[in-house]
Amino acid sequence: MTDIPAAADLSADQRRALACVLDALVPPSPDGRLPGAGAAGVATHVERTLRTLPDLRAMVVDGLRDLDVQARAQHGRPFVACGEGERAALVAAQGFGYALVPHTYVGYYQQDAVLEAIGMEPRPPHPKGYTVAENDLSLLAPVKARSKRYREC
Amino acid sequence: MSSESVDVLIIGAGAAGAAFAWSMAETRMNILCLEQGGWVKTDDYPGLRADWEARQFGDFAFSPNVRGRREDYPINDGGSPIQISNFNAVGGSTILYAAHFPRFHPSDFRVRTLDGVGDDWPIDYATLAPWYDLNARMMGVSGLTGDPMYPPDKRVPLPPVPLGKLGEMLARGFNALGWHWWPSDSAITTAEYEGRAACINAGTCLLGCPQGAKASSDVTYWPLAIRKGVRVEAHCRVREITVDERGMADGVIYYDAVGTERRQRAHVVVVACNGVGTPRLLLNSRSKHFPDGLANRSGLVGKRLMFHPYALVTGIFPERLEGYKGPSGCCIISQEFYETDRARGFLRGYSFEMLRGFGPVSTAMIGLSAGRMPHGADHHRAFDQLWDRNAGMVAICEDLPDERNTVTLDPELGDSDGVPAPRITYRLSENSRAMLDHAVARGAEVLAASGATDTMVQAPLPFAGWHLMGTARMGIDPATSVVNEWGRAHDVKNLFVIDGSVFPTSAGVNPTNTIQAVALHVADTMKKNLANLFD
Ligand SMILES: Cc1cc2nc3c(=O)[nH]c(=O)nc-3n(C[C@H](O)[C@H](O)[C@H](O)COP(=O)(O)OP(=O)(O)OC[C@H]3O[C@@H](n4cnc5c(N)ncnc54)[C@H](O)[C@@H]3O)c2cc1C
Ligand code: SF4
Repeated sequence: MTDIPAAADLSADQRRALACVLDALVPPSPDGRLPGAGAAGVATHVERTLRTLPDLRAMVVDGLRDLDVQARAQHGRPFVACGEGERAALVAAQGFGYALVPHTYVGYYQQDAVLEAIGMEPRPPHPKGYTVAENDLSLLAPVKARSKRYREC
Repeated sequence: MSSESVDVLIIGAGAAGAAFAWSMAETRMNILCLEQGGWVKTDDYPGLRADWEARQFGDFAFSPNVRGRREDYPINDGGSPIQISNFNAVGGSTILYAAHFPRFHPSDFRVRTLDGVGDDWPIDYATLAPWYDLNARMMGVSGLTGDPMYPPDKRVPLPPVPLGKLGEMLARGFNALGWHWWPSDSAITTAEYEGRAACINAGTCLLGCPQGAKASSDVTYWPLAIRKGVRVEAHCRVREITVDERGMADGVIYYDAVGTERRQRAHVVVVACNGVGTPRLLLNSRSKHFPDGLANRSGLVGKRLMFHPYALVTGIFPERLEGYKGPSGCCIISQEFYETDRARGFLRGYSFEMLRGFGPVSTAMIGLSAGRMPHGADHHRAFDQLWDRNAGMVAICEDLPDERNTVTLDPELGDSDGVPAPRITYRLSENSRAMLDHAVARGAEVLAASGATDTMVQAPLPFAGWHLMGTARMGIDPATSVVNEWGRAHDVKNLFVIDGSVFPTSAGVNPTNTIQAVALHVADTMKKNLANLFD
């Protein structure tokens, strides 16, 4: 993939806040089998994507700042120090998280921990591939029993 | 290279250019192919990396407008409900294609006579049958003989792709309704074949096959053609075909890898840039002899653009299907609704083709676009309802030719070399709309018969502009066609077109097998007529 300049990197604080936003978009599963998107490390993928989408990046940076302002106003603490429910409500009210949903899903479903939890081996499809059972071509019997179906011309 | 004249200059190294080059190589003429893209290296393919599915939204996207690589040309397809999908490389769009490889039916060459719409082809199924057979051997096609939908002599060299649990469930659904189905003819090596490895069911076909099991033309025809002396110059974008004082083609002007303008002379020019790239190039080739574009005295270059309008009907099943295992676009085909039955409310017909299930990223994204993949607390439950429980099925509808559906030159948009880009104008016909509606209803019926409890529908599928046909049609009459029955331009006797542009009608199956059979037929006719090629 194309090399992207490091200049557009988020600060450590912004990255932490972004991970909390991603956890609100895809929280851990109730049974604990699936991690939240932030905990799964999806922020790295999202951040890489943001470097190619300057408008979205600007919206996210503004949004993260606003979340912190709102968190301090409503709960007296920075956004990252709020509880899970508080953060989810703040993210829902702020709105910019919606624009991150597709990027979050794309990043989330490439994570090894997630693949394992949904029953896949944590590896790319190549070069090992998959085994598929032999065909049961006896299923074709009724099709073969019918006469020719194309038009002669 | 600029001063030397070649005997045959092929423009475009995709499916058609490769088959044609290989066939012509035995003449030992000086043959050169100019291709605007590069060679794709095994290591470049997404399927070897953890982020493989994500790259369908980036450098391996179907749309050149999304990929935006230097070798891509932008396409203004905002005026069409169906957007163009292609790939620009040695191998052309076969780098991304699913390799579903059916033939046309005999009736597809006699559309006007049989059904009173479209046109008859100036060639018939019997003309192409030997070239279909040869192409099956050259591409390494897998399948099963005996399909009652085809003449009995259709043969392929390899056994069919695995149906898998998903395919067998659908097969049972078709059987329950008494409908036709058959294992798909697939240009995929199901066993080692002619030095190519066997398919390992990795399911990344639509992002390219690092295994070399999928027959993209860079791993089939091109190595053999090059061994026989054909040269391919990659990263060379042809701007225009030039003509001499008599109006005969005498070469091209192109841009090399660093954008330097160059000239290549040729005795014969063969255009294989696909149903959009070919009319774009001809329309960009204006001269005093051809003020409206090369070989365009009929006015038909760029007109009669045909896609196959697609319906995607995705079934949701209560159980896991292991659907991500196996070639992603090849499983089983049904042609129950292929031949015309006027009682259905439309003319001509369509094929159903079963896809596999989608990978996890695609599952989430398809769910999202269908409004079924919420974020927040309910996300995991929603994902679990779709993940590995979905089976996609497409209907490939025959598109009827219509002169209002066009490829023209965009007045503003250009590629990285400043060459005017194509603009697509297309509207769905009432016949296609009726066919799509029928296919959606029948698709839901067979999915239900196979055990699906729910379906999701997209019709027409917006990104399915991957079968590009009709924009330089073949025919006997120069007033109503651009090329003759063996691809030679009526107006320019040393200019040939060999891709899907020449199709008078589109049939209701994927076109690449027929595109290559036509290219082999053109090459064969040229070889037989070398002494009087321009008479
Ligand atoms: C996602 C996808 C899935 C598909 N699935 C199937 C399938 O299952 N079955 C099937 O039959 N078909 C399928 N297709 C369609 C199939 O790929 C095409 O029908 C086939 O590749 C067309 O062959 P072609 O040689 O006409 O054009 P292409 O293969 O597109 O090749 C044309 C070549 O010309 C080059 N070119 C264009 N303009 C210039 C220029 N000015 N100068 C130099 N070079 C130029 C391009 O870079 C390109 O490499 C699919 C396509 C896509 C994109
Ligand atoms: S499924 Fe087979 S043909 Fe498709 S990419 Fe994998 S190995 Fe190649």
